[in-house]
Amino acid sequence: MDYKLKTNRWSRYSGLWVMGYGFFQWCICQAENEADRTDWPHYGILHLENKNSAVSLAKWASLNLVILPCIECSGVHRNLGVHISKVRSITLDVKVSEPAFMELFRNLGNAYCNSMFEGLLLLDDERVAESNVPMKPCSTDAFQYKQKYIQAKVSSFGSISRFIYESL
Amino acid sequence: MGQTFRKLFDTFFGNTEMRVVMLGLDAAGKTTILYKLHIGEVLSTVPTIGFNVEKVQYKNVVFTVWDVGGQEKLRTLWRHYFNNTDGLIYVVDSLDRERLGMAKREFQTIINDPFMLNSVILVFANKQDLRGAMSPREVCEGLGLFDLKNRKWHIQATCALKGDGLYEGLDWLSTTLKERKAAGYSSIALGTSSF
Repeated sequence: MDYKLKTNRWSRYSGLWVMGYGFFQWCICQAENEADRTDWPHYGILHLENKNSAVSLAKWASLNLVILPCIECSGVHRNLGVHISKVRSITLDVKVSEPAFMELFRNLGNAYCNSMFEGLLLLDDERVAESNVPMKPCSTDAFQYKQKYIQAKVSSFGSISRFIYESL
Repeated sequence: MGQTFRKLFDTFFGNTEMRVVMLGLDAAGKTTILYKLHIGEVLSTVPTIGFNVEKVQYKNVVFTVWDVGGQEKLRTLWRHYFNNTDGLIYVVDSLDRERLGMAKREFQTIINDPFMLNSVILVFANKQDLRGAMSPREVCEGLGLFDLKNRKWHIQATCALKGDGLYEGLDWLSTTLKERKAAGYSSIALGTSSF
């Protein structure tokens, strides 16, 4: 009898539990979306005052492209060869942590430099269809996806220089 | 009697173990080479923080290859891997002409370390598939290999992505190390240390 009462009491509140759990999941979802939007190595959607913290958070840098990739993307950049991207570690290479370099990264940064490199890639529909790169990867995407995107971006470098030359 | 036969059998058919340390500047291709030798595939690697170690068997020699990260601040940790090492594999990015001077400085520091005086040196001139890569001879001159006295060294042109030249290098390493063992050299015999 006693036991039966107990189960009743629990079942009465089970709806609340489910709702609570649902709310908890929703919160996690929101937090993840928030993290995606501030995924600065890939999107660079950061306000000017946050730029300083982005530079101080960064661990890897491409010296000639003036971008701050995440560790996986820096692996892809290294595979391209030093004639395309010179990747150094900000924390482990002495020369890069000099103030002059950091100032440069602060002034240019990912958003600006990538707008140059990716402009043609995203405008040119043919290229996007051809390379199967529908959208820019974020930090949670698979390594192969990031690799594909970066390689497509690099293959458009030639047309960028042609574009600049023609517009001069 | 049984022991004697066992020893005789081992000298002809048994596996010899060798400890090899693989060093070089960052992004030279050390980790790619290690996994190409270990599993025969090209892995998509990220910069090594710390080290990787794998056993690679070639013919009847088991190489224990230590692959250590090559960033500037990690290079000071290299000397901790020198003790008890039979051979050095130094990997150079043949495309990176700018940093060949730096590669030379680091190379000379390694081979002049008291623990490394007795080890054989194998240099991999990596990334030969890329256009404009330096020839092995240019890398030789850049590292100052021709000025070395009383050292066993060998340079090998490689392409880690295709696997060209890697096993030729290991071939040289195993024959040279066996010759050394036969001549009675031991890497443990040296006792002096810089620290």
